[in-house]
Amino acid sequence: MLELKNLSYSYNENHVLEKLNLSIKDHSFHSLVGLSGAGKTLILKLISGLLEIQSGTIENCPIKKSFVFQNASFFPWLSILKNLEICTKASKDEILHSLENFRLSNISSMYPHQLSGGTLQKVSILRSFLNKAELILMDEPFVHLDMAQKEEIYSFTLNLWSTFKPTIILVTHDLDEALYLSETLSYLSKKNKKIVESYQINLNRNLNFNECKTTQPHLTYFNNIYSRLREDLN
Amino acid sequence: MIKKFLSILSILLILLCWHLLSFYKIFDAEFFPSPFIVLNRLALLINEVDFLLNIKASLLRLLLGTLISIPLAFITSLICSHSKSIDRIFNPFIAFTFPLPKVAIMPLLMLIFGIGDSFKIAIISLGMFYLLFINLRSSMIFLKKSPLADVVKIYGISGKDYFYHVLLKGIFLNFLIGLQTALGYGLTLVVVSEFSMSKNGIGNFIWKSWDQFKIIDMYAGIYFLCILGFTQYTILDALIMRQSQKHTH
Repeated sequence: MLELKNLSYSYNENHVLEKLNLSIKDHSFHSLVGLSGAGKTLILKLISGLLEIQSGTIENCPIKKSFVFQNASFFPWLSILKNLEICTKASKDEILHSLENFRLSNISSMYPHQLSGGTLQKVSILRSFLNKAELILMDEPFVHLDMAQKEEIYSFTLNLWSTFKPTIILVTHDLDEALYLSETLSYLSKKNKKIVESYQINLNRNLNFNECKTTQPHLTYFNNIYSRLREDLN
Repeated sequence: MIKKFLSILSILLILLCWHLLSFYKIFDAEFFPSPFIVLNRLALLINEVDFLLNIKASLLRLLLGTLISIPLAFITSLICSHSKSIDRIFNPFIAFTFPLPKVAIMPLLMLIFGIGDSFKIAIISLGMFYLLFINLRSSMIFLKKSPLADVVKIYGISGKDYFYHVLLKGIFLNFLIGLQTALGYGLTLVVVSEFSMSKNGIGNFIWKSWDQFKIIDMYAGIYFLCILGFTQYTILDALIMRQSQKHTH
């Protein structure tokens, strides 16, 4: 179990996190929600090692981690295949096989600028799984996608997750998305600078996104978390 | 086809205007001969061994200057972009000496290297080095500070993969842009260094022609330089355009 203990962080004099505690089960899909500026991305950067911890500890953090950035970051001068090869260290055959499995085989020789935002983000997600990471950190990866693309990429992500079973931490502003994708969810309060509530999400996994978000359990979770957001705003 | 024609239209128009001004004696034809006479003379000179030897000498100096300046600029910019303290020492020195016309230190280089080919190659390398270094250093720093640096860190890209696929390929576009400017400046320095203390080279040929009042020969030498500059600029421009498509985000 990944454990964040008494994690504090400040930019100059501005305290963003104060003695934050969070436990995430191995192989689970966990979402982190909260207002803008609450420190959600900061938590991902601290876990990934992109930022150094100022105070507190992160325990049982897997060595092999992947990060899915908000803007799919690829080396623009390399083909998709080469991008995946140098990032994941997977063999060419393995990458081509995975691309084929997820109906992306036609893009292997293309360059990032030749692909749509949705396809690029799909490849970005695939890259994080191909890396055989035990922990995948996702920083609002679906934010720039339209509704149709989102639905497709949600099932794509869930499909990959059920195949590789890594632990996933998703940061998002979209409560519907967080509820649909994750098994557990934590609310990060901007006011308190820590996790104030965690939820075990029990929703019908056989429904598609549009069906799921209209069900009563989904709406109950939604209203509950939304009231948290409103409290935080006042 | 039309695009290619348009790209040389400005040159053709200048030559045509020049020809008309010379033909109608608005220009003194003795000092400003028609470009067609000059081009005709250049076509004849190209078949002369002496002229070819001059071309060979100049091109060799430019080539050696380029071959020295590229690795030198690459290594120093690599060190500066990876070590803040070295960059803090070296970069102000570059900023301080860059505006200095390199021709102004020719006497100093003659003192150090003598008046042979070494000093000419030294001044060409030095002039080219600055332009290459400035481009390479900034592109390496930009790469290091871009969001792609996070990808490098997260996915642990290192060794050959980092050096070849990330660093070299990542700075290649800026290198080409720097090289395009540096080669143009290098050619200027080749000619200037050959004006005096030289027994061969295009610069020497132009200077001697002027000295002996062979105006058409002098222009033929200048035209050759223009054609050479145009060729290297156009080739690099095509490479830059091709490469910049790959760098589009």
